[in-house]
Amino acid sequence: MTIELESIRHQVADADEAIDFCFRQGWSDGLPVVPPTEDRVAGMVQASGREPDDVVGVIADREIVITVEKVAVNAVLAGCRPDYMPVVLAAIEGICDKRWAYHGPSTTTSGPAVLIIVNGPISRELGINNGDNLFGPGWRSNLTIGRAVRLVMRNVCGSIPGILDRATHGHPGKLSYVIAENELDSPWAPFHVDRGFSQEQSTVTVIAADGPRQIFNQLSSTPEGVLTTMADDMRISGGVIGQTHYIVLLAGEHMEIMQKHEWTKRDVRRYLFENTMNNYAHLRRTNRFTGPAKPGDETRIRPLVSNEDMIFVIPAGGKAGAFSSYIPGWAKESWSYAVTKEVRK
Amino acid sequence: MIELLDPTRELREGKMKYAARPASLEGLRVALIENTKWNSEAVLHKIGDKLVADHGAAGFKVFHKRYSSVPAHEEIIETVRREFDVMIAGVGDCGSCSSGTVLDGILLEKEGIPSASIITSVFVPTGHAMAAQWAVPDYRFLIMEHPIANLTGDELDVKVAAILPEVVGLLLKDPAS
Repeated sequence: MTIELESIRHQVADADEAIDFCFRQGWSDGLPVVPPTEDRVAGMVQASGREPDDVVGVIADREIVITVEKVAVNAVLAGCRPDYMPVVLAAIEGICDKRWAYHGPSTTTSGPAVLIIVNGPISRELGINNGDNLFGPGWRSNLTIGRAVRLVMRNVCGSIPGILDRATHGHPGKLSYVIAENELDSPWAPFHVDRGFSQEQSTVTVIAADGPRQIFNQLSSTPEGVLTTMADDMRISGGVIGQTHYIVLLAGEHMEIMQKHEWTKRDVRRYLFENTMNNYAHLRRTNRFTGPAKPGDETRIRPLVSNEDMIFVIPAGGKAGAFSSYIPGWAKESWSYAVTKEVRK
Repeated sequence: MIELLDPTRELREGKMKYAARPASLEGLRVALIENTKWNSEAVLHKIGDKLVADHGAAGFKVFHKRYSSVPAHEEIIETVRREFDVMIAGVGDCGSCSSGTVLDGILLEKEGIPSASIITSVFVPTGHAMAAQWAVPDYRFLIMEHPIANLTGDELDVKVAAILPEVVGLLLKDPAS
């Protein structure tokens, strides 16, 4: 099958020159890239099962149309294997969804990354890490799928640091921020089932998100004990007053405690919701809200999230260690909503 | 020799076509689109007061965006197009809101409303990049010294006095002419 590709061509002398050329053109995130030759890009398009000019997504605020071909070129640059393409495409569909609202989270000074949570059989087929070193190095799929998404944002959408990506600090997740859920060891229905999909479907959820924060508790043997530590750390985190999403990642030892005591996800969400409240007096004294504390502010309560369902509880991380993590989403949930898309093969 | 495929989207080239400018602001209805950022409404309100008091504008109305990171929603655009003569948007003092404020001006110029978008100085490259995304890299917006969110009313008065002649100039004279 011949695949007609329309991208502009550039001639370079050899493979070494190709990598330098990509740097000079500003196509890289700072790491060396795989040169996007015709064969590689065609292979990537072919693996998607779609035509190169198929539209993956549209960003109306920038008059941007993203095609399968442009995603494929950037997936090659990122070092993806061709069979990662369906996951990359689903993530791009997600960030183009109006509910995700691309312009805000990609341009803001507050610097969120695109957290990509992969669920379902594809996460195991592609070896997407859900265990030891959850956010760490060593897994090609975790590192290159997120990198491909970021390169599409850079090269197609104009999200270049200092220009249309004005993150003051940003965080390392902006290179790649891909995780999977440890579905096989979990007593609970997977995250994508909570979001309306079946266990057999594969999905990608994209969330504009801060970096992960780790909590440590090796002293507790009850869910309340573990989650008291988590809640105490979460209470003043992220935007604090924005009421965004929170992703709570419970690792092996803490999950064993939840399981032993037969806590459901709803139990976890409710406990965290009820124990992360702030009062207005504190939020004013610490300049989160304007003006001096008013009468009644000491007892006037501001929940960290708008409702307990905005806390996403996901088992993931290594089996050893009394650590878990949470990730604050960006700004407000209504400014950029977590979007889940099916991975179509 | 190796051939590489270009991963970027080619930006379309173009030039901004500005709305026809009025001879003066006398008797004109002024729309102010504020982006919900702290002190933005105060700045625009002060500009509106000056346009009425010193330039004879008929009056002004403040429109509020849904939130700072988005362009003005369709209902605002439509109302301004239908019921107002000139528009001022601001104040873009962050990444997503500066580019959003620039976009407000572009969208309303396309609707035939002379417009002035105000953003703060540290976001000038972002404003130009947004204009380039819309194939109008030459689009002219106004620049207020950053920051504004932590200023008092008196300090804002100084900023408003400094930018007011530029606002009037941009609303009355086609930058492309």
